Parts: sequence; structure tokens; C-alpha cells
Amino acid sequence: ALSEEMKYDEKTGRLLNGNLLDYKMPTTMDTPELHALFVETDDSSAPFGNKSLGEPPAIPVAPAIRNALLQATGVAVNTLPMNPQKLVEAFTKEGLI
Amino acid sequence: MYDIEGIYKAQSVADAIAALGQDPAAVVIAGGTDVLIKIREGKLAGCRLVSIHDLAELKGIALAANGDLEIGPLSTFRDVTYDPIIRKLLPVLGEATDMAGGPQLRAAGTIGGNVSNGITSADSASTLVALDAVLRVQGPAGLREVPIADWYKGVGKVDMAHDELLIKIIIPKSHYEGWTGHYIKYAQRNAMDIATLGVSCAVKLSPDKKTAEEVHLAFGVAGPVPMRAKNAESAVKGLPITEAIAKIGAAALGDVNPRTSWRASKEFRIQLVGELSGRALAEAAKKGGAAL
Repeated sequence: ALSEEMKYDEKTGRLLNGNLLDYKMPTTMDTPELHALFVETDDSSAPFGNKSLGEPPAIPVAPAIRNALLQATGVAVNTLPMNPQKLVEAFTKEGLI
Repeated sequence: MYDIEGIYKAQSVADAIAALGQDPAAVVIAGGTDVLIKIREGKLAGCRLVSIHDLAELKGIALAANGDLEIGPLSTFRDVTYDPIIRKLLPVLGEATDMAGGPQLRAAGTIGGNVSNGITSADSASTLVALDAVLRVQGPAGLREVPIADWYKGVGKVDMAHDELLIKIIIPKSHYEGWTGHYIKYAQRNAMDIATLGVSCAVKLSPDKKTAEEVHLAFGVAGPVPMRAKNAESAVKGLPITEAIAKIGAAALGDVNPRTSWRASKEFRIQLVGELSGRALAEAAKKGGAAL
């Protein structure tokens, strides 16, 4: 939500950041402390009532941060990543800075 | 994996200079953290290397008899960070070198390589520029000393001929005694990254710690080479420290000339210059004992 992005050359379509230096995956220095809590429910559409766990934690993060940002600043950023470069552009456009 | 034609391991500085003189295409390798990457990317494929990696005479950090700090260019980033003399007399430099890359890179990459590459984003560069470091270079004709203000000639170009070697980085006593400094590396993440902007600020406070008697402000990535912000420095010289902090950012905008690259826009970098200059000065002043 905050850092990873594939950047392309607009004229040639070439990928600009096709390496792990320029593709900004968070490092251990960037990741906040994470706590996982389980909410046990019965999913009647799956065998034994089980539920997949890969996607659900990944999906709500970006909209949650986007909404927090909107509430804090009044600026809606509707593309990812919401990195400082993009926020400076958005805040400048809205006259905040 | 590494396409090189050959490597010559120099036995001494003079030997390395002679080897470079005989082979105009040879590439100097020290820590190898830049050269090896370029070889693997193909930019230096098939090159001939002259290694200075094992030259003991280029290592070590010492205090000269006159109080000048003398840093051997083969000192790694980690050597600089953990050196007791640096920690005592010039902690800002050790803090700056501790922000380069990750632990492995800092154990291999050297401060001399960082300066000789002539790269604007080099983490040690803006601090060395703020300190007005002096670079001692040896060539076939002997020794000469270059103030760092005259060192950078363009992107990747420094005032050093092919058959010359950087043999000492000198911080004169008057450039660090009574000064405190702070370096801010602004990057897109906290490790393994290149600076989007580097800001290094050094300040000399008045005896009552309330006035900024002199300020040195230097940037990396605010232009093609590491640079000083002379207008900002003179604009805040002699001001009460809180006023200096408030004014230095706006004043620095007149000094810088960042460019838009796909990594960050000019406007973003200008925003960073305006914001981070004051923060760097505030931290530098706090280290010097200012109550803020």
C-alpha cells in the first residue's frame, strides 16, 4: 500500500525498476510490529467450514490507510502506492502545502 | 558470474599508480561494492582490474600531531562508524556512513570509494562536503591536496587523473573542533536504499548555546554533485538558533537544483530540501548543547 510499485517508461513500456534495489519492498527496518488475532467462524461454503488465510489480511490494508489519510487531511488518494512522492503531489494540488 | 579479463593485485600505492599508468583502461577496485555490480550488469564487462584492496597503508584512522583527523580511504563504512576517534571527535561522519546500504555492504564498501566515485547520492559525501574535508591524492608526480569543494567535476567525475589514487581524507582540526553535525538520509525505505535526498548540517554555536555563529549545510542529490548551500549558510549566520532553524529551509531553496528522475520529482526533492534543512540544523544544535 505504501511502497511497492512497478514503474514503466511511458514511451517504450520498459520496466524501470526491475531489481530489488529500485522495487521498494519493505525491509525489516520498515515493517511495523505485527500482531495476528484469529476470529473463528464457520464458512459453510467450504469443506469442514475452513477459510483461506492468504488474501484476507492483504486486502483491507490499502483502503484502511487511504481512509485514514482522507480523514486526517481531507485528501483522497485513489492510486497505490501512497508514498511520500505521491502525497506531496496530492497535497500540492489540494493546496495543503 | 563476473566477466573480468584479469586482476592485478598492487603491492603498494606506488605500484598501483604504475600499473594504472601502464594500462589506460584498467579499473581500480577497492571494496568492490560498486565495481562488481557494474561488471555483473555488463557495464564493465571484460575489464582489467587493479586491486588496492589489501594495501595496509591506505587503511586506518588516526589523529595527526596537529589535531587533523586523517582517514585512510580503504576504511570501510563500518570501520568509520565504529572507530573510537570518529565516535569521540566527529560522530556525525560515523552516523552518515552507518546509513549506507545494509550491514554486508558497510563491511565491504570503503569511504574512499564512496568519494572517488563522484556520485551525488553517496552517504558520506554530503557530510564530508559540510566539513570542508581535504582529499590527498598521489600520482606519478607526487602528492597534492584538493579541498572537497573543488573535487566534484560532474556526475561520476572527480578531480583525479586515471593514474592517481586517493590516499587520505583529512578533516582539519578547525573544521570539527567546536562543531556538531547531523546527517539526514531521506530514502524511500529504512535500509538497502539510495538517498532521495541527503542533508548534512554542521553548526558552531556561541558559548551560551543560543546563537548559530556559523552553519555549514550540504546536500546530496540536490544537484548533479554533492553541494554546499552557501546562500542558506550566510542567511542564518549569527541568528538565534530557533530563528536559524525556521529560516534555513526556505533559504536553501535558492541554492539547490534538483532534477526530476523516475525515482523522484524535482518538486518532491524541493519539498524535502525545505523541510529537512531545518530538522538537520535543529538536531545538530541539540548535539551541541542547545536547549530546543
